[in-house]
Amino acid sequence: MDKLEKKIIFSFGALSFAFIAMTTVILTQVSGVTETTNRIQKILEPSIKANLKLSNAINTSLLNLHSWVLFPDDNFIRQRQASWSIITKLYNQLANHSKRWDDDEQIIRLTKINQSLLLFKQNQETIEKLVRTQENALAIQLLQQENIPMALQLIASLRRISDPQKWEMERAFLQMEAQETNLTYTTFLFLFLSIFATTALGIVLARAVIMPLQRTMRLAESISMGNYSLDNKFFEEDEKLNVALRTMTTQLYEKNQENESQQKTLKKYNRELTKLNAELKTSNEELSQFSYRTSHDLKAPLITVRGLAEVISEDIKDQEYNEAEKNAHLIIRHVLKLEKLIVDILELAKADLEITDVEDVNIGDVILDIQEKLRSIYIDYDVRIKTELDESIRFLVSKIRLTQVLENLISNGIKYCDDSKPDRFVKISTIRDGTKKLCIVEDNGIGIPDEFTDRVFSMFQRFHPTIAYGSGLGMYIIKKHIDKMDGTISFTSSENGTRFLIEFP
Amino acid sequence: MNKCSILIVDDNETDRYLLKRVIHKLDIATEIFEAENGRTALDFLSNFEENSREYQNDFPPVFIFLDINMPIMNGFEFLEEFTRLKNQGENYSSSIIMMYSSSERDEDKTKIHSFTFVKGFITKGDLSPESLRASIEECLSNS
Repeated sequence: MDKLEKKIIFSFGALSFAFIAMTTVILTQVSGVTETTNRIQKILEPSIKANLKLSNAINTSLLNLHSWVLFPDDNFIRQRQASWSIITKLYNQLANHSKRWDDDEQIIRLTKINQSLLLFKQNQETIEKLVRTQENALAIQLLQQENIPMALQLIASLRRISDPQKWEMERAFLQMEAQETNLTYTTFLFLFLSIFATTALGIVLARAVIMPLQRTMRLAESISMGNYSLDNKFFEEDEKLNVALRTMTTQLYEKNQENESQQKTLKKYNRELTKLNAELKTSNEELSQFSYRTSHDLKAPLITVRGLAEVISEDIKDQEYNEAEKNAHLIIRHVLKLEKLIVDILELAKADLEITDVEDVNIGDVILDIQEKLRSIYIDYDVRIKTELDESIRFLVSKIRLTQVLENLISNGIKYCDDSKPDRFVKISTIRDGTKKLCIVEDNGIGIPDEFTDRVFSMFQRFHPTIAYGSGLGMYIIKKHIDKMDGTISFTSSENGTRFLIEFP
Repeated sequence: MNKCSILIVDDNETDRYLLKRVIHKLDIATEIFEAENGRTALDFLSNFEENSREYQNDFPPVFIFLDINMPIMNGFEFLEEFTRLKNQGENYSSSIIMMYSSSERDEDKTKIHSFTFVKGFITKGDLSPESLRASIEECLSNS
């Protein structure tokens, strides 16, 4: 049971209890009044009335007897007898009422009155007989000395019974009045309390129901504005509605977070896709340029060779044998160039493939192999190959790739040597730089002109076409290999030579 | 057809030799200049005063045979630079450029047509005294 329910139940409980209590109080007071009324109506009033009538009847009987004594007329006898029947009847009534009297003394008194009444009646009959026997003087004497005092005593006795009853009735009336006033006050109090309780309950209900509702509405409004990460002040009170709302909000918040993270992931994918797309575009452009250049560079020498063959046949026809021989040599040179180009294209294709395994490469051995190979190609070049290797560095790379890179760099160093310098060299050194492994290939050749710096690693670039023939693919092949080995290559160049710096992770 | 001076711009020495042989055979040249790429050709052409003095009637060359694929400065780059050079004065208004390339790509031909002073296109594979004469005559009649 949550706080709201407790509040409501408590309020209604308190109100019901107050109603029952007040009703009980009023009922008690009403029954008090009713009891008093009953006592007056059924006991006191009839008793007093009967008492009074009995006194009157006693008086009447005395009066009739008196009249009989003075004027012996039988009517008085009859009247006196009628009085007596009334007296008997009234006494019986009184005796009947006396059963419900509280005071036992009064009941005893009434019984004594009964005995006195009998004596009083006998006395009257005695007096009546004396009148019949003409003994009037005795009768008057008896009447005055016995019967009248007896009547007075009876009446006095009866009054001693009725007087307290009259007082009691008066008291009862006063009590009844007080009870009625009380009842009025209680009713007013009840009315006031009812109004107060209703108001209080209203306030409690408003606080218990409307305030959480308002809070809930504010919460809902806040949620509708997209604020899912509500702070705890909204959830301080443990209320069912808010618990449900909190669950909903938490779920919404989580959904929102999930959505956001999904969007982030999506954005990341998008960025990657854009990047990939750009890479693909570059790769495509490269491929298209490559196919254009290769087709041209393969076709161009063939056309030249065809042209040369035509002129040779012309020369032979013209018997220009020296010219024919010179042109035949040109054919050989062009075919050799073509061969070199095809080899380079194949090397490039290899560089793009994941063909080789990583191994512990001994750079010294690699350089010796390269030297051996190049010696036969660059016969006329007087360039020294120097090394300065840190043998402790282990290059865990593809041997084929590293060989290709070094061979291209070294052969470039030989091809583009500077004849004006007395000591021509290409120097290969390896050093450690922190976690990186560096391989440096430097020469004192003619250098790369500044204006071509940006194009060095692009395909089909030749900057010294008059000095040596090349496919223009060498540096491009080197870059491909370095990229595949996760390395970087950079260079500095001047008229004093060129220095290539390769960094391996 | 009157004889005139000719400049051949081509990185391939043999191709220049083959073209020169055809030109000699047709006997149309008073002088043949050679350049191995766009840059050397441009340097030669822009050195107007000195070369005018040295070669008198033969400079600037009337016909320029231009290869497309060359190192350092290719045919297209040369055409752009030459446009700039032409716009500087009247010195080169008489020069006629003919492309001399192994390329048969439509893309290259379209690109070249944007330069109005390029009047002809000789494909290296089709080179012969007859084809060269026809091309020269065609471009002379056009201009």
